[in-house]
Amino acid sequence: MGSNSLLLLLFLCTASVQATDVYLNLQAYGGNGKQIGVGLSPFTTTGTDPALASEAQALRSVLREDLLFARLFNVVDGGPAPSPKVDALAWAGLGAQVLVTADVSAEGDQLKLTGSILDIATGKTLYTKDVSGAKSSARRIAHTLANAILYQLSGQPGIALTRIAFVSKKNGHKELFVMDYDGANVHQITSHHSIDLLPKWSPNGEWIAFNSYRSQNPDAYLVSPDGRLLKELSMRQGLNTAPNWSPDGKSIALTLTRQGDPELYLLDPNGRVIRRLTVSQGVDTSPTFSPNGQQIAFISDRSGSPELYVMDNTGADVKRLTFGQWADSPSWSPKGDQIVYERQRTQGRFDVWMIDANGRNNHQISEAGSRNEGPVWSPDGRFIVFSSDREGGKAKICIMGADGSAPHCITDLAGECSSPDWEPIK
Amino acid sequence: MKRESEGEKMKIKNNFLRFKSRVLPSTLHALPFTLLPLLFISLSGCMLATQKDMIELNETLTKMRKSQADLVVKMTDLSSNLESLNSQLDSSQQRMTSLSQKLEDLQLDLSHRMSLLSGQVTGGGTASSSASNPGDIYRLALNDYQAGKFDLALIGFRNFIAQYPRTELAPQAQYQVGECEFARKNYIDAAREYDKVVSMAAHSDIAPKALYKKGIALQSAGRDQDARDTFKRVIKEYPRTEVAKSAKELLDNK
Repeated sequence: MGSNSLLLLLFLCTASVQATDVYLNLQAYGGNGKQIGVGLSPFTTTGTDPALASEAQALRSVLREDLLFARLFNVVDGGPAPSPKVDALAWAGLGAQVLVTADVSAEGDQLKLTGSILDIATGKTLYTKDVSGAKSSARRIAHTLANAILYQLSGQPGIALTRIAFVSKKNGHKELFVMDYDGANVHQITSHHSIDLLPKWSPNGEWIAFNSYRSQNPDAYLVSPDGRLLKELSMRQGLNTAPNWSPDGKSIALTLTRQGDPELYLLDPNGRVIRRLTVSQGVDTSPTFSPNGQQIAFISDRSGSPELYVMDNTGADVKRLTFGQWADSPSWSPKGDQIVYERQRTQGRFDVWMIDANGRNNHQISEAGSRNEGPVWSPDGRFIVFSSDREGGKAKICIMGADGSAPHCITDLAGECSSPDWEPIK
Repeated sequence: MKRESEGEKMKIKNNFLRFKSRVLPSTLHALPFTLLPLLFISLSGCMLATQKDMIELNETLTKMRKSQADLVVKMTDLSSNLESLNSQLDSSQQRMTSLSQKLEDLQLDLSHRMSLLSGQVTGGGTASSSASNPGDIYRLALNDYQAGKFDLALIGFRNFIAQYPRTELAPQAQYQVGECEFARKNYIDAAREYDKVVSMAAHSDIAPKALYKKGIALQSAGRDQDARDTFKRVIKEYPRTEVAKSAKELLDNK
């Protein structure tokens, strides 16, 4: 409810301020591919409550991380806070072309954050936005403002409010977890004391499809992201594995062994078979839809080894994309032009590879030397989340640029983490 | 002579009697004692032999079963090998197609450059249009399709067919026109566009796929009988293809 009203607020604000105007004005600074300098002022507080000052600092650090994560600007720190006028000269000297300021106030258990974007050169306020919510959801308030600022400055939708589902053996069994995209707010959403695997967000973010052995058979289920609701999707005898959603949310592709051989089928969200997709001998699995919903990339060992294939959503027009790769776990980019997948280098060692959807330009994007598995695109098509033991010890959930740049891990849990999936932008 | 012969007869008779009284009784008496064990041995030998035979037979049967199972395994192996060979052939064909596309691009590029050069040599006007190669135009349309811009992609593919009707990519582009209509849920239009692929290039790799998709499009439009007829056509005209298997599957499940 709270998040809905926040989103509504976000919508109303962005609509009233004419985002594109600000974005277009700023193009002048960012010409020649140079990133614009975005100053981030210390946050001010209304009132003298010392607790509020630390609250303001925490909000600022969340917002700062969001702006840094986006890698769209040169974030500038260290200038003075407005008192009450902004010291434009000082900020200009630090390399800022625009300045983000914010004021924090509190009323009961409610926090209000008022953010602004100022043009350093003219001193004009380009954009102002109010975000409020319960103190307990302070990070969410900061993320909401970050998304709005990112959109104003870049024209791209922010992903600061998205979450990541993943599998962890934190409590001994493989269970599903959900966390914020920055690794905060880790919640366990299943406790089946069995093996839960391969979570996949529905396009509207209301369900997560996954596999579980909780009934001693690899069955497919749907769970709500808070873990409260659980639905059976496919409990057929044999395999019901690797369910994944079509972009319109009206169908789910998964592997069934109805006639002995593992084949891909299309189900509706109630588990009824719409159609069988593959008819070849060998295992067909790991489906991922193209963003236009018309094609499905999948893994098949029909040639003798697991390779990446593409077909249309009726099972026709099958094309093989990789040759001699030992491929698995493909994920189709939100822009539709690329597919990221994992490739087994040697027994048990995996790398993340990227290939164009037409089969060209196949190349490795993860650094060698560690186990990098289960790559999935971010909903804005700029990042890849994957699991890796690059930091030594147990595998963690990590994020890198879509070109493989700046990989960093965001989980620090006791057990192995694997199989991440990024929530779509709602 | 007669007496002699009578004496001979007597001799023979006596000899016989002697034989009868001396040899036969002993033999006859001995017979039960010598024959019985023999009989027993030979009988039990017989039984043993039958048992042995049975065991041997059983063994042979097991062996035969095993070898039959081996044969089945080998058959499965062979058929999966065949399938993998088929898929390798498919991918080789795919590569061939993309190579021939590249070649076509190169040839067209070359002739474009040649005409430019000849224009320059003869001092004729400047270059005609800045038409890039057909592969690029096709890819642009495909990018639109992949991004879900089906209207734009449709125009792109139609332009491609109009500009390069004789290239190897033309049937592929025509198939994509069908795909765009299918994605826009204009199923009857899609069926018509898929049909054009078959009439353009009935012996190409794309023709069976187009015919199969025509069936799916008709099915999606609710024309089940037409769809069934189309699937039957796929099985009859392109029996050895992947889509024929899919068509059979769809017909069997109805």
